[in-house]
Amino acid sequence: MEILDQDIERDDNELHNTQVVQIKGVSISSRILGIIFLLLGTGGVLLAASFFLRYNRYIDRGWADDISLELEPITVFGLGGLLAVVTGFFFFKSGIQSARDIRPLRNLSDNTLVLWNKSLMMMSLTISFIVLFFLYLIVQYGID
Amino acid sequence: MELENEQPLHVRIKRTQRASRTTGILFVITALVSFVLGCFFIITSSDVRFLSEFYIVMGILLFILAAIVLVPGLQFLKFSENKIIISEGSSINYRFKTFRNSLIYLCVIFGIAAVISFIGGSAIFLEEVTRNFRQY
Repeated sequence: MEILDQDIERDDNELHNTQVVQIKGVSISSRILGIIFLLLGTGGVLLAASFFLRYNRYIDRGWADDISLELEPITVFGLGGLLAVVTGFFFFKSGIQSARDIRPLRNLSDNTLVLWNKSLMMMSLTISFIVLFFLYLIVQYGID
Repeated sequence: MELENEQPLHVRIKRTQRASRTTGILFVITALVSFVLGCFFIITSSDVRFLSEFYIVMGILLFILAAIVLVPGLQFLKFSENKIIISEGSSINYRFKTFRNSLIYLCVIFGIAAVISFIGGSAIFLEEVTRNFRQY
């Protein structure tokens, strides 16, 4: 019976160690994904800003008026970029929080799980916004 | 009284699983929409007079997008299966491995997009800024 108990305890320890390794992996990949989303969002916001500057220049030189300019590129790159920056921030934060949880808890705390949920939801929001906006553009202007 | 943090992981992970399910469903829908759009581009490419190559390339790119978005979507759905709650922790390692793999997959996909977006965005932005400086 004692040997059986020892066996179960050893199995539990092994399971726990594997769990810690997996959480570490998730934490590291989450931080990398956070940096990637921050880069993606910054690129989008910079593109929107450059469209804005270009439109300003066109208006200043009298090449175009306010009505003829299309605001869709600024909307999709600007809003999409901002959403991606927020997503990146959440992913990075949840990665750091998971890494902090591993040592004392050997597990994930509730706050970390809430952060995880936020980052996953933000990611789906960003992607669905971009895809739906492109669908709207196709419906609005047609492909031909 | 048992603290929230002392409860086993599989009890507290339900909400993450729910969020993961929503993400997975959205990814799968994105993949399906991209696939339909890709078909549409390829079919209409023969009808247009100019830029038919562009339409074909666009269709192929949308097919690739559908393929690469479908895999993490399915992995998220797999992670969100209810089995994890019923099984008393034994399959958590396997599930977390799936979750980690889907994150790594996303890192690769979005990493390429992020590098292109950041370099392209900064280059165009710098060009616009310097042009505006020259003007005034």
